[in-house]
Amino acid sequence: MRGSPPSALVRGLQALVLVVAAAGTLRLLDWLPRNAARAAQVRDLPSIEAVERAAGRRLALPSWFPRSLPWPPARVHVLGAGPDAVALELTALDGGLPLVVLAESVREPVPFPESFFPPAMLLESGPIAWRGAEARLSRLRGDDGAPWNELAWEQDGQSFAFRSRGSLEQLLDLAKSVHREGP
Amino acid sequence: MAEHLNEAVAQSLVAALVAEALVRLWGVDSPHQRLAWRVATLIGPLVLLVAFELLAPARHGDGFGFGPALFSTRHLRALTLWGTGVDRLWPWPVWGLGALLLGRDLLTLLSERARPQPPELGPAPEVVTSVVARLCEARNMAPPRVVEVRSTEPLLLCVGVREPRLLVSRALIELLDEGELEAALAHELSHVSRRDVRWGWLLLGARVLQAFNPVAQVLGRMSAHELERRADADAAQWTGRPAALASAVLKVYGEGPAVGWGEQTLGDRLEQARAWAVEDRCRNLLARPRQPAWAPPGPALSTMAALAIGALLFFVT
Repeated sequence: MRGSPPSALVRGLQALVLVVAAAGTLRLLDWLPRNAARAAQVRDLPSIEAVERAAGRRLALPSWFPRSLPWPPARVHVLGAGPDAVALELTALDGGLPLVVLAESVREPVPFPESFFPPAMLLESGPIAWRGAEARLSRLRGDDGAPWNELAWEQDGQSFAFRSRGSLEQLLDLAKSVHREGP
Repeated sequence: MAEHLNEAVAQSLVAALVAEALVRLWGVDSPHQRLAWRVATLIGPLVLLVAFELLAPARHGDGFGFGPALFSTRHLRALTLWGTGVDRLWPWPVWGLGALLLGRDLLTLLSERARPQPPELGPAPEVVTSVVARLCEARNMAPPRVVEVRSTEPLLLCVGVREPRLLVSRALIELLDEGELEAALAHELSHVSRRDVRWGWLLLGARVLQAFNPVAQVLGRMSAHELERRADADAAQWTGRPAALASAVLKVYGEGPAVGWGEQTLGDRLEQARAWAVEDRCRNLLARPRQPAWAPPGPALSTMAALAIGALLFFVT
């Protein structure tokens, strides 16, 4: 025996709860692949040399750095066992916040995991002409409110994404100077 | 283009699951309402996809995808298999499944249409037309043309989009008793009065437009099933003898090829599926008639729920 018939209001609330639950589930399903799965595949290596040994080839790196950026990178993240991609994180001299993240695929282009970069919200993004091809220039805002710029492009069969807190000119100069030494 | 197809599949899946949950939550039992929900779920996402594209093209930008969007199929690229983003791997099997489901039904339809149609012999005998006239008079509807066809198989069909008519074979008239014949004719008259042949073609058209979408293909099949269920319910109500219709269904089915339960050929499997469909129809007809536990949701409530689902789909890209 079923109870008294629910009113239209109760049914409306049921529908509302269902739609809200569906929205929450969708949000979770969207978040999981972007974060959980990737985070499990990303690990740290001690140095650029360790990455190059694991990859069996040299990385393409900028040949120009502003004096304000310390070298070598404070942290080196890699994606996959290959590894498939690497992110070099350059932090302030006092060891604090990351200033620049240089991400590149090791061989063929791969999508970079979000965990390569500090959390940030995309504000705007658009294509630009870049060395005879097309790149994507984006403006982001970090969790601490700091503005970031990102340039993403493909070059010699690799994908790159450089993200910087500094000026846009500095980011473009860094990107322009990328080259690979050796095989 | 691929992004839009992926979005259509994701939106169909979300709409179908939420609508199905709502139908169960609200205890919607009327075949008419169930059919309305299925058709809305089949066609709605297709219409919304075009509307969203025209009204809010920025939904496909990164700003929306990483901002207000609830779910973006593009984010599946974060998962990789063999170095390739899942967003590139999953579409082809999914689209292929959609095309396979549609292709199977289209092939069945084409093979049926390619078979020579049984020749029409003329007006059906009095035993049929009198029942049709009586049923139509009770329903205040114009009786359709009823034509006898030459066939050794028991046939009773509703055909014709613009002017629906019934085809009946002598074998069917001889197979069914009076009550069963009346129930079977009432079933077909329901198809006539509700223009189900036209609905069937419209459903097929919606499926063809979404050939890539397996969810739409399943919804299309379920909608066609609801058309039959609705005609069964009408016939049971009009004649007051659902058991007679179930008996007619079983008798006609029994005249078909034997079912190879122990064999594994594709034909046997299809035949088993047909047997299960017949069993399901009979179970529905023979179930103790019950008053719906709750009154069906009104049009205002249904419209509100449909709008809420549409709003949800806006955030699925």
